[in-house]
Amino acid sequence: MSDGCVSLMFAILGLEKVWEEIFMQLLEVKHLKKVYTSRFGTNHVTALTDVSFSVEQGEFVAIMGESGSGKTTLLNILAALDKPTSGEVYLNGKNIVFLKEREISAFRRKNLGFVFQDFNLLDAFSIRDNIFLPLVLSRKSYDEMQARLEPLAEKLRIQQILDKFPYEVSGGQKQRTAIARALITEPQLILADEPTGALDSRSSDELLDLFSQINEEGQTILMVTHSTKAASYAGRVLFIKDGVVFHQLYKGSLSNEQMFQKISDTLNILATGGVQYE
Amino acid sequence: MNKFFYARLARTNIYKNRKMYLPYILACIGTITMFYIMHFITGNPGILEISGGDSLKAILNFGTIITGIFSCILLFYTNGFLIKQRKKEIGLFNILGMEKKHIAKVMLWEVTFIASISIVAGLVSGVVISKLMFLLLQSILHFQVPLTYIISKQSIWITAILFFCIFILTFLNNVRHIHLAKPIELLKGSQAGEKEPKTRWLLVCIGIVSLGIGYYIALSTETPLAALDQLFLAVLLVIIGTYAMFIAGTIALLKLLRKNKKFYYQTKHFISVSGMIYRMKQNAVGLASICILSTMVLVTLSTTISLYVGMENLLANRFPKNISVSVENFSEEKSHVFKEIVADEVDRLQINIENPVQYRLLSFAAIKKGNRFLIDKENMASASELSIITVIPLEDYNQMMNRTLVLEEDEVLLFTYRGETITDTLILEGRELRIKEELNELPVDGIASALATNTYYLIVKDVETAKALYPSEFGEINHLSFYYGFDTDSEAEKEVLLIKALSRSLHEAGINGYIEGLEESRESFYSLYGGFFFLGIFLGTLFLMATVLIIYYKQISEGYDDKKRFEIMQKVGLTKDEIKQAIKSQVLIVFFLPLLMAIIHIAFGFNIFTKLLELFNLTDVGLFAICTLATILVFAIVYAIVYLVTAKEYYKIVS
Ligand SMILES: Nc1ncnc2c1ncn2[C@@H]1O[C@H](COP(=O)(O)OP(=O)(O)OP(=O)(O)O)[C@@H](O)[C@H]1O
Ligand SMILES: [Mg+2]
Repeated sequence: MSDGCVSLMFAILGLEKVWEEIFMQLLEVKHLKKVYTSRFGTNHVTALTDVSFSVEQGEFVAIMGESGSGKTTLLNILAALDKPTSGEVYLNGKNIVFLKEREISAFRRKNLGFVFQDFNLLDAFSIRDNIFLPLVLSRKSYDEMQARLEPLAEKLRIQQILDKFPYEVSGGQKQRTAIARALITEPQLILADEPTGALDSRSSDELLDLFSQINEEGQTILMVTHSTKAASYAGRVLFIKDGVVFHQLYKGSLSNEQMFQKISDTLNILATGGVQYE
Repeated sequence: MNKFFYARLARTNIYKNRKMYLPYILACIGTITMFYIMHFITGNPGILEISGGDSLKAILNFGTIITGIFSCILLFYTNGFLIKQRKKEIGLFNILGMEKKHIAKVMLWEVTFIASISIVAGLVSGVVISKLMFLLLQSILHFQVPLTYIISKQSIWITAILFFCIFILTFLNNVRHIHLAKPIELLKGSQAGEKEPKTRWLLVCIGIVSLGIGYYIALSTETPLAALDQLFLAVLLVIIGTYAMFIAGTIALLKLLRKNKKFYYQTKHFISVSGMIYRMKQNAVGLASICILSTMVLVTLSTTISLYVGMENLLANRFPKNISVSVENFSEEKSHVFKEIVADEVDRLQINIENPVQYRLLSFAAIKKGNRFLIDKENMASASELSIITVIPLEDYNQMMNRTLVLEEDEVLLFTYRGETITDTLILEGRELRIKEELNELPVDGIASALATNTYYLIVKDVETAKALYPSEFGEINHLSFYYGFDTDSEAEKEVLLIKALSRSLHEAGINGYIEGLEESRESFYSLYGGFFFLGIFLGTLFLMATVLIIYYKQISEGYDDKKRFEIMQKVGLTKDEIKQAIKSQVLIVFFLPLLMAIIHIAFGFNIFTKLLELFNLTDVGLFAICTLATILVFAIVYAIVYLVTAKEYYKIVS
């Protein structure tokens, strides 16, 4: 019986809430396929073959994979920045693949927060205005924006630099600004693409600690990374290879160090051609 | 390393950056072509054979100099833009192990390629197009110009040398840029200077004050001579003001808007205000330049077109009568001889005289202070209160106007040709004269229009009084001068013949006179004002080319900058439509601000330019207004077309 039928049954019984609580995942990705076609249609690159996985509310998931394995492609599709060739993506039970252009932007603003490798801050805005940007787009009042910013800035330790401009602050500070911008909309899901990629190891550690802390407070995070270290902070690690989810690891009660070891073992196996999971 | 390595690298560089270099090379070719043509026409010996050729040559000479200077500035500016865009690429070379010395070598090759292509192509097109320009000049001047169409070696050399020097300078400037920069800075390249611009209140003040004073001067100028005097200052102030306002004023304004939290934190304003601050910092100079250039295009075209279109009007001002004769020291005997000669020649050519006007007069210059006129031979020339006083005996006036007035010794009738009128009394060198009547009309001599000074006609009791009023500083006076003006019923050729005949006969009879005629002067007027018109079109084209070029580069560079910004905004949740809207309003404002400002400049400058045109005998303000409006309209259309084309490029880059 398909999920749709079950949900319909629960709905008929007037038990949507119960359905949501028991069964619904925050994010569900089903049989995602993405084929890039070059401009003249001569070249096809299959970035994703068949990707399925789901993320529960409050999880911290890392996605690993070799360069070119389709991680950024996956993230772009989850962010509705790109459309899959086929397959479905449900966020809170809503299929975002079929959203209209208009709805997508509002959807993105309300539900998703982004953290990128290269920060993607706007030079023209001060740090404060960069953080305000998504709220201004949602037409929030200045007072409300300020009220949301204050605790956030304190947590991220960027109170001092709010009135500076991106070119005046360090990489770590820029990334914390980007995180503040992602968090200020109180999104369902944070999507991060190589967030530590441009940072030195100390700033990376700080950032990852921050992610863990936010996660403990209930924030769901999906992070793409190359770094075993970064992945070892996550509660679950998915490995992508040849366009499919090849394997996954749960952290469970392991420490970061133990997780680190486990991940590197897995990577070694993957590199030498391991057995596909399932 | 291979001997031609640098040359090849230079060639690929130019090819790879062709989107940037092609317009630059075209601009080089364009300016070289124009300079060659201008220099060539100016140096053409045929020019001097035209009547009024001296002034035509002077005008063209001026045009040549302007073209040269302007080309230099334009190429320097565009080159600076190019080097800024390419810094990143050059930084990469540097990091990949090329020394600055080697980079300079590559750049030398690049300049060599560009210079040789442009100079050769520019000269070839110059030689070809100069033929076309001859035809244009000819049709503007309304008569056959004895210009010889040759290929001028001298012009070719001078053009080549001048532009060679300009290219060398741009090269040195590039080397300086590279030399000063650190590799990291080079790598960051065009993105390096993204600092938040400071509000420079001092500059804002300077801008407001200079614009204010400039506008005030333009509005308050009353006489043509004052206009000539003040024009340079006013233009300079307005230019300074424009740059200051674009550089500092816009940013100050935008920052004030940003301070207003209620206003600023609204989706629409949030993006455009911050975007504008950012843009203004990079483009203020470019925008101010576009504004100044647009103003120049509008002024040159509207004034020169007015002069050209208003030719008949200004000829009528300059020559109230078709033929006029002035004779100095006109004694009784001379009077008889004169009348005989005129009657004879008119008979011989079978011409009928119509509307004749004649009177005796004495003219001299004086400085007007309120209702006082002072004679100061030393300081005469410099004073803008310089006025001409023309004294006419009552007898001649009564006869001319069919009146029977009587005047006392110290009474005068006053006719003010130009300038503020005087009521009750006027004091001429201590002599107090009562103004019995202010006259509304008096058939005046065309010289008054030509001199462009304020002219006061005093009708006095008799010849003796007139002589007594003549200042002794200017010498003894035996007899008054004589003015005789008339129209005829015959065609132009005959009038010209009559003038020649009269001139000869009077000379033979020993009468020193000055004869001028409308028809005879027409050619020199056309050559003078046609020359202006030609120059107007020429410089207008040049300025327009510069405007288009600057706009193009602005759009492209902004396109690359904005692409990234809008990508980020999209990721943060801005819809494509919202982005398009934001782009559109921002581009529109940035683009049309210079035009708007230029039109404001023109509006404030209208008065002073009207006065200036009076200097050229054009008094038809309505005509000037129409020409100005038409020029603005056409220019705005061209500007809008340029906008549409470049905006297309911009959108291509951004999306
Ligand atoms: N716009 C595109 N057009 C065509 N092919 C693309 C495009 N974007 C990505 N690809 C291809 O899809 C595949 C996956 O790319 P993707 O960027 O998702 O990899 P990635 O896992 O993020 O790599 P990295 O770790 O290096 O960032 C690659 O083979 C890439 O060449
Ligand atoms: Mg990637």
